[in-house]
Amino acid sequence: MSESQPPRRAVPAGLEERVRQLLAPFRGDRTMTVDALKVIQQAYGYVPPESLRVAAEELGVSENTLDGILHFYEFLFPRPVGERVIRVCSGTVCQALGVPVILRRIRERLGLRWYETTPDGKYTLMPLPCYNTCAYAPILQIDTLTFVRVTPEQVDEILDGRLEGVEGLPCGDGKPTPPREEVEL
Amino acid sequence: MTLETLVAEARGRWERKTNPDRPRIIISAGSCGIFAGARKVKAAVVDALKRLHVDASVEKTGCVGLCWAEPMLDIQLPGRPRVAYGPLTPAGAAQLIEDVVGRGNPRVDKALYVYADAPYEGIPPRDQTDWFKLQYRVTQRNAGIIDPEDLDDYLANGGYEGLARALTMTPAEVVEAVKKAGLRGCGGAAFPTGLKWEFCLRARGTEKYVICNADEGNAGTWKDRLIMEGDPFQLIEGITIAAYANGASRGFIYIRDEYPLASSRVRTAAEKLRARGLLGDNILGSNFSFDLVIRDGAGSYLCGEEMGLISSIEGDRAMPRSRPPFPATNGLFYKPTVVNNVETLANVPQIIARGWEWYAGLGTERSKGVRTITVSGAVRRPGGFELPFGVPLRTVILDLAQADPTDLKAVQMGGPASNILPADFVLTLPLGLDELRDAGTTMGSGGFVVVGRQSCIPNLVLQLMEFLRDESCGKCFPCQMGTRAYYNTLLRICRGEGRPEDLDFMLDIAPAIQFGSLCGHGQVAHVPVVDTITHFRAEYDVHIRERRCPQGICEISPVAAAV
Repeated sequence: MSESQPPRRAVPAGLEERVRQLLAPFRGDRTMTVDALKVIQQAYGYVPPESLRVAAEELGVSENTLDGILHFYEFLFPRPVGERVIRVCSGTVCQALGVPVILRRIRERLGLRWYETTPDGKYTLMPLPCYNTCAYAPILQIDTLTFVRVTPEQVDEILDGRLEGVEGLPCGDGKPTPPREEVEL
Repeated sequence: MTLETLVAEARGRWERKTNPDRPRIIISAGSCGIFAGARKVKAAVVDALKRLHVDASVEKTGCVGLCWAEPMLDIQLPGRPRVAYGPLTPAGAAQLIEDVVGRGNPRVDKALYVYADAPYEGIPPRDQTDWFKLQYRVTQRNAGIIDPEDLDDYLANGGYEGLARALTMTPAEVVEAVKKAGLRGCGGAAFPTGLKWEFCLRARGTEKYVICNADEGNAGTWKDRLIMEGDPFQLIEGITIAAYANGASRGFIYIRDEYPLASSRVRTAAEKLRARGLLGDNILGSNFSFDLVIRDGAGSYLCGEEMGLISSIEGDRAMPRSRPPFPATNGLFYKPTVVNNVETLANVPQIIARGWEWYAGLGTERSKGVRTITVSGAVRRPGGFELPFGVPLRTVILDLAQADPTDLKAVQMGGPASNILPADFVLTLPLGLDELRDAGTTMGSGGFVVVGRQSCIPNLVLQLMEFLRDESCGKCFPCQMGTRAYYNTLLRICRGEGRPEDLDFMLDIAPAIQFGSLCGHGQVAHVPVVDTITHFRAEYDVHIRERRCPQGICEISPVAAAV
């Protein structure tokens, strides 16, 4: 799978101190690797490769272990993602109810395939591991906005911001989580 | 505090809550409901109440399983029964409040059912409606009725009777009861739960763990979500009983990251239980102590595999270890561990409270008890139903989920790597573990995906295989290479570049993947391919020989189309 390279970003300043500070609650707890990387991602929007050495020291695991974990889990991003992350459900029901055509429409419009970022760094396309709200398939999500029962014709409306989505229920994609009272009903 | 005092207080509060002196509006707030617009409905309801100058309590509940009817809400007026309405738009909800609360018009046109024994204003009682009359709700019995974040609601509805009774029994007696009840794992493999517990109970070592597998990754299955969002206390009670029966003092619940609402509700429930001494040290005054750690996943299908899940909790990639040794002897941190699915554990409190005889009397002779199944795809009324085993699948798919009998092609049961069978055949089968196994299939996790005539089977299998390939952890090569080989071959076929020998190739490599793979992921990855080649060969043939997609879904490459 080809993954386009978004514009290079400099190593964030003060990374080491910040990561040590963020990971203080997990110090020496090697079972909390995934949670630790999620915390880093919350702060930077992705997990900077430079942070792994520090994180590995803090947790007491090898840098390779963390690198493996980072590339294993769907919601951990090893490189910067676009300003907006488009997620399309990859579950069976959504697939059966029209996701292939929706993906084709997204590709025609933005030139994106899975895991790719537009050259201007605006959009990244990722699969959404099924929310299991299959009664509302197909599901498309942009950042924290969710659109249900999406038709291929609606893709343009969604991308242009002309269709109203449902706020909340974001999964761990590194974007700042809305306050709990907004997520909770 | 003893359970009796807790329950007496809770019952008092529940009585006052369900016999209110002001209107109650209860909004159905599961993930489905929120996606369907429950928040806007709630805002509209609050606005309408303000306009009417009515003092009412606006509450929330979990999903009752009628996903097609979301956004739903229940209204109870003082001295009247509780009536459910749906589906609603925000404007419709505001109008409904004005009519029902403001004018006392019961709005029979929008009503679904009433919580009462007899019809009310012509609205049928819940248990006499088409969707509920066949159901026997055990794990879902409180879902959609109680507030999932209010412990009193749960205690007033039979909560913690099971644990209180379990604490009067020895662990071996609890295991024996679960064994005699005939409870089998609801995650897919249907292994007898009591037997699993017995292995762990007998395993040596003082440090043992209970893990609740809430990584419900199978697309089309949301029974566990219904339990966690609708009645999380029951699940935690079940985990606690499992811990008591197995001699564990610490448990984990691993919730997938795609279930933020379920995770939040389970966390809230655990906090409330701790505050009342129902989780923590010396539960209910006994010398049994147990605490629960809640862990969130990060998006990996393999975390649903028990060994993968254990690796993930240990802080590693979710890579399965080889079995044996089984988790019952060498599980989490290589200590004896019981890993059970959410629904399995949620059945336990009622089995202990009401006795194994009751549970064993449900279902059929060979498949005992009840099972929640979810139906989605090409159906008009997708939803979740808790049914006793033995109900014909024809009833489930055509009557409960209201699939269009003329628009049925195939049904997939239980996850992306499960059987895809012609709908005509599935409609002849009953719901049952052994009954389906006899017919050469399995109900897996109980997620029924109905595939309509407009779907292209090779393309559907291609998408499934892309998912299975991406989620293969890569530890053992038959799975890693096999799913890749399948994906590449299917991609070629779907582009119109298939070769005549492709189908035989895919059938030929199936045993290598099935028998060579380390865990369940690879062992069943061939199933959708083999099934569809067996039952839908004609569709593959059109793609390969005529280089076209009859449904117009596949993108035939220009090169292939020109030939």
